[in-house]
Amino acid sequence: MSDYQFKAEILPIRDKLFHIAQKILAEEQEAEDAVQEVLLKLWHMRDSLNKYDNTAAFATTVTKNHCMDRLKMIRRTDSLDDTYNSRAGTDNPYLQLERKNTEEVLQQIIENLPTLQQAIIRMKDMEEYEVEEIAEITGTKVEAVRVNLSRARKKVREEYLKWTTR
Amino acid sequence: MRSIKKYLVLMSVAIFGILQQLQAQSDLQISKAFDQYGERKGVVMVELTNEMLDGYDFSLFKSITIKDNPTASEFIRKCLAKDEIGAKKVKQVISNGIPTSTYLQLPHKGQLFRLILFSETFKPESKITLIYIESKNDSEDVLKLILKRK
Amino acid sequence: MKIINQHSGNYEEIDRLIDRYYEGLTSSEEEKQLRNLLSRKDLPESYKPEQVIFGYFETKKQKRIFMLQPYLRWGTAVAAIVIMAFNLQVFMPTNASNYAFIDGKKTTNVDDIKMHALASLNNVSCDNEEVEKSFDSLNDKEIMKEQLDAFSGLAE
Repeated sequence: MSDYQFKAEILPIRDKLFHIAQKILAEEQEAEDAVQEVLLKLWHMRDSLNKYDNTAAFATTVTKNHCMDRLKMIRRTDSLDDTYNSRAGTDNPYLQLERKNTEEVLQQIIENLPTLQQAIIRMKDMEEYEVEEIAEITGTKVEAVRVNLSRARKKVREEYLKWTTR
Repeated sequence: MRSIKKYLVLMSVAIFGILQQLQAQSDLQISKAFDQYGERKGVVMVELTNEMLDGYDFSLFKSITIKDNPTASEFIRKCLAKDEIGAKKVKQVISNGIPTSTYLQLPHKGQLFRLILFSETFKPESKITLIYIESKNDSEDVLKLILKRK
Repeated sequence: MKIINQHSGNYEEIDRLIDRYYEGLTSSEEEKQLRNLLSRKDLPESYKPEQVIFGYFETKKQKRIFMLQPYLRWGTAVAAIVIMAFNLQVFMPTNASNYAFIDGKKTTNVDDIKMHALASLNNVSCDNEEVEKSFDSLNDKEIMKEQLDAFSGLAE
């Protein structure tokens, strides 16, 4: 599926996907993040999307599965505010990081970011997309992407400093 | 991922283009006749590029006339038989069961029309003539002009 | 705008870009610039986090495309050159290619050559009657065979 095809076939059903997400996740912000994550997932697999007869149905399935996974994650955490530490596991995450080198540390830090922030920082810093392009693919405003990107980058710096100054 | 795909597409187009070029250059069997007999005794071979001949405009004109050489005749006829495939036989003259004149219109090379003209006579002497023409002019016009020479 | 790094001296440009970076405001172009600035060896310790982070992203980028890109780039370049070479051969007017071999002897006298060329054309041409019939064959787009006893010899 080409870039153009993706924008023409997948983006128009964003609302439908959002409603599915909202039904499962209840909270609007959760659903919004989930939909963006799903769209980025679908974007990265757009080359193999043509083999599905009904891409809309496929996208719906992906959304349902993704939201169910998210739900499991949320229910597992004790503190809903501290998503970062809950994702890192119940052990002290910094003990785990001790024996690793810088590259591994940063990899771990990024993997512990909330899913959407992780996806966005990868697309910007590794795949060199522009913020406008990411906004288009996720069907959001540029400002929304910028905010997530900013949070992600600041978090990476913060966690890195925690590790180096222990 | 996008740039890799772009490169793959470019590459395949490039390779395809090369193959096309190779095909156009070496697709004629009769070129062997020119190579083999062109510089021998009893043979007249001519090549003209982008020249006007008696009012006709040719991009390429190649002809070979061979006297008293039945082996060459046989060889050229075999080459012709192969080059005939896929070509339009505009005219053929048969005498006593064998073709004594054949005019072929070959598939285009780009914008160029291509013709093969072949003729063999036995009286007063044994003589075989093979002509290859490439021309930007409509092949029908070129043929008319040639055929009207007498 | 929250300022994360603040330094005296001539690091204004780096500081400005770094601030924009953490706000998510930098374009890919600006990030390239920032990466170049950060690759200098003589920077103060305080820039270490950014140097490390940018360095990490760089390795991620390069690993992804290193595998194929050099070969593809060279491949397409070579292919393009080969095509151009072929095109030149085929379409460039090779005016030098006028010659005739008569009994094995080569001549490049264009008038002589043309004379022989016309002679060969005479060998394959036919009389008017046949011309009419040839038109028909061209128009009908049919393969046509004719038996012409009168045509068993040509040069009359």
